[in-house]
Amino acid sequence: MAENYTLESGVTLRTDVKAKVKKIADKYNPATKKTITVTSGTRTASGQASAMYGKLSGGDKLMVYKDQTSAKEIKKAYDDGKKAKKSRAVIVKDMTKVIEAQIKKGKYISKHLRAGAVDIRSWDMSSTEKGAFRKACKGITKSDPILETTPPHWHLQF
Amino acid sequence: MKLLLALIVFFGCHSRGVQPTSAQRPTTASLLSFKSQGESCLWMLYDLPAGGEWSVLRTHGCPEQVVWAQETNRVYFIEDRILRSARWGEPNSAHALVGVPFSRDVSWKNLWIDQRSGRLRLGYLIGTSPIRTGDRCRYEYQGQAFETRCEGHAEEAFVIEAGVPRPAREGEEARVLPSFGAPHLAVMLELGPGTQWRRVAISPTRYEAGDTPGFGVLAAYAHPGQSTWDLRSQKRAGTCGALREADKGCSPPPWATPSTLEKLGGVGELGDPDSVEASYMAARGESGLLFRVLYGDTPHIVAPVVACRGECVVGMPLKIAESMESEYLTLSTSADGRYVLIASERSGTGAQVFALDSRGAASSPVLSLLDHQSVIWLPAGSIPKRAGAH
Repeated sequence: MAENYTLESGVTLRTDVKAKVKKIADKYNPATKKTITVTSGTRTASGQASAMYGKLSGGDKLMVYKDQTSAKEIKKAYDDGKKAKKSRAVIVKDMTKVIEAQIKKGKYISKHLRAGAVDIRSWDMSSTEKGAFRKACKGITKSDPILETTPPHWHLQF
Repeated sequence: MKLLLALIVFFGCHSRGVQPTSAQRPTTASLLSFKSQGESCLWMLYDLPAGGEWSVLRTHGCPEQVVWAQETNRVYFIEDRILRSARWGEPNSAHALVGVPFSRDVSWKNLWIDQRSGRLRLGYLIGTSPIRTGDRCRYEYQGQAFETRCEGHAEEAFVIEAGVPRPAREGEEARVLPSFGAPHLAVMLELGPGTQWRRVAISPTRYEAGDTPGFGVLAAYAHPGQSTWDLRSQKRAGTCGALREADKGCSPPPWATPSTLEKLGGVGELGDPDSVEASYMAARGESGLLFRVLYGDTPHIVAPVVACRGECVVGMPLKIAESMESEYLTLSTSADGRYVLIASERSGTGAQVFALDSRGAASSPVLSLLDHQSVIWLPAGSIPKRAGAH
């Protein structure tokens, strides 16, 4: 039998998190006749560093992160690498090392570095369906799902 | 209180569509809103200090994207997949220019006047999936195909040359897309002299997840002009992320703690400390706003919002409409800092305006436009000339 959820290519979820996503999808489907799409799950430090390199090279100031001290440490690795004219690959490696060191200290620049964060497609849901989705998450997610706006998606925390 | 009374009297006495008099020239605290009325949409201007309101334009539907071109005193907007233009301040001057070349299901779109070319540009994101063959990812869109280099699970490396992507060669400095997010194409078009759309650039991207690049992959091709401004960026300006980027607030000074907010805001449990903090925005003189910020992938302003002074030892919660209590909010002040506009981050509706005095006091809204769409400030320097003004 087909699942009531799909994963975008490249998205990985830990087994227990996948079971919880399935539970939400199985509650959401009977109410809406629709499936859900997972757009992001658990990320590696290098995957996060690569994404942050892309943001910094586009002029982003990393102001969306709660832990601004950690964000500045990662930005410093980028700035130092650029100043030393290092290649992208080397700078991403340097940034990865910083993120890994932060993780060792229990600091996570993105919640997706821990296994419990999941992003779900939201644009294909009507307001009634969004209500059904919130209801389906009750008792399964750690807190109410957050309907992000830029870019639009649901952020779930388990 | 006097201002509130003045607004009530003024709004009570003036019918919609009243033309401004010379005494009612827009000031540094002017708002623009879009209000559905029957079969049409009224573009309303509110001058708070003068207590004036009038309609500046009437269109069939309310637009999602608007660009003002001050030099030509024109406004451009997309309504029902048609690009239209109107003379600012002439209520019935809207006319169609050209259709937009995409279907309804684009994930994001924006309109601006490019500073370098001086022409209207349209950007949009559309969901798609590449076909992977070996280490190549192939995209097809509107009769044209291009490739990138597939890496790892789902990363892609490419270089954009003359507006078109090609696979990155080994060792070449390339843009690399993250392995997460939903695959999309970012497309940028420019309106030519014969009202024909010409493609400026196209690129694969990722969207619909935190930390994805979205339209940023084409940032090198976008040069928003100084003499124009658009609705999307004005709406975004009041979000927590944008306020921080502009160094305008939504950052927690050491004394702005959840317990201070809890005490002043009269609320109970503020939520998971890992996802919630108290933040602050300076407004007028020594007065400012203390509020709650909720984190998912990005920060969001949420109630309570407290007007306070100095380090917020004392303060007064703003009376936010019940329907907005669980919404994520945008928070912005008029250029003179006297007024605070609060609206929904997601929809732009639910707008309320509060007047702040120099002691940091405010409670009830002086203006509520709860059913209006996209209520935004019109900065003094960006208010287009009003044709036909007395």
